Amino acid sequence: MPVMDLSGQTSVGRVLGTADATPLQFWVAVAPGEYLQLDDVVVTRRELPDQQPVTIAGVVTAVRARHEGAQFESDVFAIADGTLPAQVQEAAEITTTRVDPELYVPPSPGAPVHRAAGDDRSRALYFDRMEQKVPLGTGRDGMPVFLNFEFLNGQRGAHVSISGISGVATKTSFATFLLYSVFRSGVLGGEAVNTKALIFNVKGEDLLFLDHPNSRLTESTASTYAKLGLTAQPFPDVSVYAPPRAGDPSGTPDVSSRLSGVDSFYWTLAEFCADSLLPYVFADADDERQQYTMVVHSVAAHLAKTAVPADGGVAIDGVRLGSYADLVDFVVAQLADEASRSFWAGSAVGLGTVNAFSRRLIGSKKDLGRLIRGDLPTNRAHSVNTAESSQVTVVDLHNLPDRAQRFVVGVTLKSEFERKEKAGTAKPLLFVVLDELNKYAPREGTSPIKEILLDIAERGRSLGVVLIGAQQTASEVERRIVANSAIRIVGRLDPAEASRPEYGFLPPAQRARALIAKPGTMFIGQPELPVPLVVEFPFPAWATRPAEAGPAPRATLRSLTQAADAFAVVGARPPGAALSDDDIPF
Amino acid sequence: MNLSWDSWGDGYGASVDIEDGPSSDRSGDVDEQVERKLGDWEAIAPPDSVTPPDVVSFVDGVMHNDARGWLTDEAGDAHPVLAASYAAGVVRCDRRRGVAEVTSALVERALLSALPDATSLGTGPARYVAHRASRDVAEHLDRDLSKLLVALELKASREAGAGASEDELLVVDGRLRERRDLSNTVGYIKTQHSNYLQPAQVRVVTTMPVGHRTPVFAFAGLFSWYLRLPGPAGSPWSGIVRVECSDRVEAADAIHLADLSAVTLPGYASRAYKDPRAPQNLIPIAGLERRLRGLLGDSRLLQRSLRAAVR
Repeated sequence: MPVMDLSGQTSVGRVLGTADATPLQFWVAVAPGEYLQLDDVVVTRRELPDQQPVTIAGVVTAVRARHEGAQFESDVFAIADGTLPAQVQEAAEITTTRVDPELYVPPSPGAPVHRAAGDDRSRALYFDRMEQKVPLGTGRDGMPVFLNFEFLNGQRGAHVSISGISGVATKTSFATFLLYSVFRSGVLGGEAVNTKALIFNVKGEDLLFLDHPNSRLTESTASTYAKLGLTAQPFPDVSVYAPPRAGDPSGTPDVSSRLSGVDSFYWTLAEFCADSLLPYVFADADDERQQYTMVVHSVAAHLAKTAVPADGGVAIDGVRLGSYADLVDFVVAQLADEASRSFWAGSAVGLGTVNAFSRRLIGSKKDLGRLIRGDLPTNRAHSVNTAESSQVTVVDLHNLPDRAQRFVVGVTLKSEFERKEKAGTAKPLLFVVLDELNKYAPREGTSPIKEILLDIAERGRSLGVVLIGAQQTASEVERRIVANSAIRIVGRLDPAEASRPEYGFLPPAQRARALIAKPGTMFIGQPELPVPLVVEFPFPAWATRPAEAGPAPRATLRSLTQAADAFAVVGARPPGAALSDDDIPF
Repeated sequence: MNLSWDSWGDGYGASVDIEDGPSSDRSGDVDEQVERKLGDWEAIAPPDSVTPPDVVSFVDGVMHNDARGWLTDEAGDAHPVLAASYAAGVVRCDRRRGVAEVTSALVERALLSALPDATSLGTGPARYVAHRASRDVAEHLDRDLSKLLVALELKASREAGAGASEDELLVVDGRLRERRDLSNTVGYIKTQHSNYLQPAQVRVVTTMPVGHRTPVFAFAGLFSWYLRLPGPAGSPWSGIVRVECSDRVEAADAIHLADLSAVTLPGYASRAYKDPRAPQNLIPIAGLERRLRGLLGDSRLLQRSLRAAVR
């Protein structure tokens, strides 16, 4: 029994009259033979005296079906047996997204409700108002869903917060898809070339293959990309940085699966002293609560003042120091010496505090020895600098211990942020993707990294630094960072986490659905829309793990030397064949 | 002419069992020996070979007095008026598909009065069509209304009978009346006002076990039998219903219908905790009545529209 209205469109049902219809929420009785599912976009109209008709558009946020005419719960058996007549009546709860013109009147009960398609759908979801649209994926109806780029590029808002359980929420995959969409959808225009992204890889070697095609990409995935206005390709321009291998004097990058196109990054002792990087060695939140922070800053200042570059390492008071361990030992010795202690630590510091500092400094030797070097040539490129790097810069942290990870993230963010500050213009933008934000910017305590992240969250919008932060639990991340994120994204959530106020932007039905969201489904809240949209983003067109990686791009061949096996015997039998004594080169 | 309504509302929604006149003893003109000799009367269990049909349709009607009032003519004489809504429908229970659906539901409204020139009242869905009553007495208006409902039920029965296939059973709530020409149709009488049997046979009825029936007897152009529906054991007449069919069929066919009804109807019997008229008020009929009452509309709204119409 299709319900037709004056415009000749087939409607899916009518506004219910037995439940209150309000301008912001109402129920629709679904016509027999029709259906409405969650996230469907619908539209209804209301005629008003002396006014133009009001169009009320909304999204289905709940659906229910029940037997009409049944009085008792056991009646369902009589109905299913075919003895009791009853009607199955479906109803859908609509949360209004847009009222146009803005006359907040309830829809009239009985008014026909249509599935919104084409322009109606775009208007309902505000896509018509978006001048720069970033495709986010497809809605449940298979049509594209967009993000207003003005809320990402700092014009009206910036920063993204992605929450969800590790493993199934696909947070980093979505973050990279979002970057790809921003770079390749054309919203950046001429700035696309100079817009950069900095990605910290914290888990596995997952993000090291962004420039490799995904060998598991299917035709249907490629067509989804095409529907979104994108081409299914890997990132074209990627630089990968990895820390030097531990104990390796030549400083080769510590990666196991990706063998070509990886550069190692480290800091020289001279940079460590001159740029006062010592505080980032003590970047735990509980470090800041200790007394010895005074000592940290005092020692850092003294190093900056007295250290002079000397043949890769530094010389302090005429003593040449060739490694981080040497530097630590020297500083500890100076602090232990009664005569020099006051120069290094200041005069009003107790011996216990100095010793606490020394203990922790000695503890950092093992973690940071491979990152702060005095034994490598100074003219070799070794720093992570997005301005001189490719469009996407991946910094691999997954092999590093916690203290070293904090040091790298802290120092890199600081230098990037300072560089943007000096540049003075917001454009071109810099996107920073940082997973485990709850570790770097926890709700409790302070640390140098948290200070930088807060700075980015609060001033980054005007400086052109956009933070795409991911975390398992938004409730454990500094409130000001979450509050400053214009775009809030949720994947599958932990049930206990989902009830926290940080997810208040999700309506109750969506909050319940987030508990069962499957990988690839995200709930995206953006400032213009009163209801978060449920989006399925396509399978990545780039490899997300070594097993998926297709052939390496040509550009990575520039560092082919690292892939060459020095012990390979010319004319040796192919790999996989049995090894005979003759093949052993020595 | 001036129409006014009584301010006291009428009772709402009582389903009406259309029964003829007062309790009476009609055992004189009954032929008890259609199936068994008088001496062999006993409760009969239907044979195992008889299975319930897949599709059974039930016909029923409801009515409601919306308002009573008085019509004053030019001479100043007041005549009683009754405004009522009534509905009849068919529910088709298909056990193969497991679906019970209301296949037809007819709703009508009547304005009953004895005046020949009374006009219809109201608009839209609440339009009361003028009907001429047989006598100018308030009590007779109710009786005439019952006749209107019976006519509507007949219409619904014919619609159901026309679309029915060979092996479908049509159960009419109440007496068959003018529906004797419909095949495979039985009348289902749940309250026993008249007595048709001799005391010896009545004893067979009152001691009958659940699911059994009496032998078929005949009277007034009908074959009839009693059967007992499942329910709590209580008074001798608890769970007893009388079923009738037309005598236009052969006696053997009537006996088959009797067996068929004895295996079919207990499956539709209602439970005491769900229906005060259990088990006689069958589940599909109760469901149909609820639906029909819903279609009659809200009585307060109808009263308001009636009052508004004469203002």
